[in-house]
Amino acid sequence: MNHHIEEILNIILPPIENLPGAGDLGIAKEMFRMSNEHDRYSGVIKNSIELINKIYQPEITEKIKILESNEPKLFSLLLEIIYIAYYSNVDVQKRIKWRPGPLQPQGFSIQKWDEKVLNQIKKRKEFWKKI
Amino acid sequence: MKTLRKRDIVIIGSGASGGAVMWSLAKNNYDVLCLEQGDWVDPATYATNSKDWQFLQKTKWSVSPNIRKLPVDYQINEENSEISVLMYNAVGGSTIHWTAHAPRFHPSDFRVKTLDGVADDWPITYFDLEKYYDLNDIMMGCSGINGDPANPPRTPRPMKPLPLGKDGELLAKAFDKLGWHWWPSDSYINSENYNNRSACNNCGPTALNCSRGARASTDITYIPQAQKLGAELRTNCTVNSVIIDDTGRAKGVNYFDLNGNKYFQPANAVILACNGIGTPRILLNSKPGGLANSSGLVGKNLMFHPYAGVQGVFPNLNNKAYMGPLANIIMSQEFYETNSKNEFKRGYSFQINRSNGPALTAINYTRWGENHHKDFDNRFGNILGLGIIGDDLPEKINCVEIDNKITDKFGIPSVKVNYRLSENSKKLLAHGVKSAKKLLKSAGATEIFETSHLKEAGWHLMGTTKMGNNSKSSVVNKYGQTHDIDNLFIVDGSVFVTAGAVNPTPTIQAFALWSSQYIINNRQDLKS
Ligand SMILES: Cc1cc2nc3c(=O)[nH]c(=O)nc-3n(C[C@H](O)[C@H](O)[C@H](O)COP(=O)(O)OP(=O)(O)OC[C@H]3O[C@@H](n4cnc5c(N)ncnc54)[C@H](O)[C@@H]3O)c2cc1C
Ligand code: SF4
Repeated sequence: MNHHIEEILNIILPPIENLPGAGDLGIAKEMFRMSNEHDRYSGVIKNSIELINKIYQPEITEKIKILESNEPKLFSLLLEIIYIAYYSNVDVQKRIKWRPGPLQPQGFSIQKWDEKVLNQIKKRKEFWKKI
Repeated sequence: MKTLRKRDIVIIGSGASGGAVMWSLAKNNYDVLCLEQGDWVDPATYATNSKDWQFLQKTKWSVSPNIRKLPVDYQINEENSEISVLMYNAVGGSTIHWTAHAPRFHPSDFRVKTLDGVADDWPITYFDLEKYYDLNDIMMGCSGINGDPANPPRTPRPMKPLPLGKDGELLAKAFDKLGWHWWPSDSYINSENYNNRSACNNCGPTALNCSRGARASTDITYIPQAQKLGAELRTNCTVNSVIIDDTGRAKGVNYFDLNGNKYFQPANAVILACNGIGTPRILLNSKPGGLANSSGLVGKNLMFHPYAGVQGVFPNLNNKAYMGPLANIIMSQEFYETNSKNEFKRGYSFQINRSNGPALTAINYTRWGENHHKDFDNRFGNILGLGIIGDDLPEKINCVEIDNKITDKFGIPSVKVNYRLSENSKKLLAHGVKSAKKLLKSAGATEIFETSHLKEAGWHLMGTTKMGNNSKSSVVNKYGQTHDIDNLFIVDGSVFVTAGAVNPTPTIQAFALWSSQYIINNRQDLKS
């Protein structure tokens, strides 16, 4: 039986809360765009699907596990591109409370510098080696 | 080949060290030309400005030239190396891509032979470099605070430290609890507006370039100032060799422009600033057997810093530990010096790292399938890591050599890197991992991950044209002048005798300033 990328994606990243699995979320299109944009990922999706479809095993999850153990390098690149596409999706980012869009110019605020944190370490005598 | 107008000094490479010497010499009225193989990078194109930043981080903005594969990058043969080389080729060099953690070497790092009977002493001391460290802190913009008991007292930094945040404070308390040293990191990142550059706004998980200019890189610090003083920076110029005259002195360099046209650039002196890989590459490509290589040491003694990472999960950080610069919180130097109770010489620093963004968290810390979301929700934004930066003792077998099978777009041969971790490094890292776990447990980590040796850790490139007093056992003297050719200088990390156990760039830049001060004081003959 020939499996499609969407089916594989739904197993790797299943539904959660109100989100469908990654395949039904439609991230495959993004993955293909990315794999065409840089040769780090070129051929990764196509080769992975071809290899999965060649594995004689009825169960899709088992097939993925076999690919993972037979082709660890290819599989880790496949996971990379899946995760990048999935966690760049705005609906997924909303679920994990990540602000969508670029990191700049908004940035984040963190508490101000407070010298009191140094109270204990300041008591320590100099211990650099004098030579 | 076209011959160009002769200059006083031609500098090759516009990174951390090249930028610093360019400014210093231009300020002292030398006619300076810097040749850089890369181009200016417009900060508007940095990954921090793109919604695709997670994809860019792994591809076009990867830290590895072998992955990035931009036209300017030369590919490096790493088949025989346990550490991969990381660098950036552009105006600003690898400071375009660095995290700007800016500690100094310790006085003991310059005296390891005397103290510990290993490697060699440097021909200079910490205190020779001190005023150049201070000057560099001002030029690059250092945030930090005085009083660190692990380091010599020093002049105040121009800016207060970056805030530790809740995450940094959590680990600071754990160090206090164990009675271990820690101190806020010195960083070349603005904690306030400084020299027309904005303060950091904690956009976090970076190592992706700073489109605000809050993180110093030489394209926005030294180089524009050098240009104002009259120095010329010529981009897209790839140098393939230093040319020697009949008397054995350097008379200039040959380079290719973007279109492959070849030029001869004459100069009274040549300064190499192409980093610990690029500099030996040029010398070894300049003539059979290598230029300035009577010692046979060009390319030898390559040092990185062996690096391990231990990460703890802290659910009480409420998924927010990605806010703030990635690696500029705290440094601990409890285990910096040789301790006779240990089975290894020298030591290591702990550098604290914040959490990654969502995709990198998934890649590094989750399982796929039914456990994925549980892993992700528990760990995302809750991870703090201790990076163990180990001292790296020089060995001749760790080296850079020419690989004629790989060439860049102009047909210039690239390099093969041979590097293996020594027994000393392995023992040192194992000690670091054990101590890091103790610290993270004491801080309340609910889960702990470890990478006992990180391969993608070749940020720091050192040792390949060693400095020393003796021309038989070193390539350059204490001013970076090659023993063999009196008007050929090297000012990048290649000249390091040992590696220290901290990030090297403030020391690289301080050395570059010290070397150019020598030229200013003693080599007026290089002015036309
Ligand atoms: C991801 C990353 C993070 C880092 N973080 C830190 C940190 O936090 N703290 C720290 O201290 N250090 C850090 N470093 C290391 C730091 O960037 C380097 O130590 C420093 O930039 C080295 O300075 P350099 O002048 O020797 O070389 P570089 O800055 O690498 O500059 C060399 C320049 O020479 C040019 N060049 C090379 N060959 C030629 C040629 N044939 N012709 C013309 N030009 C040429 C290159 O294009 C480049 O611009 C980091 C590095 C990376 C990659
Ligand atoms: S965290 Fe600060 S220094 Fe780093 S990229 Fe963001 S603004 Fe720049």
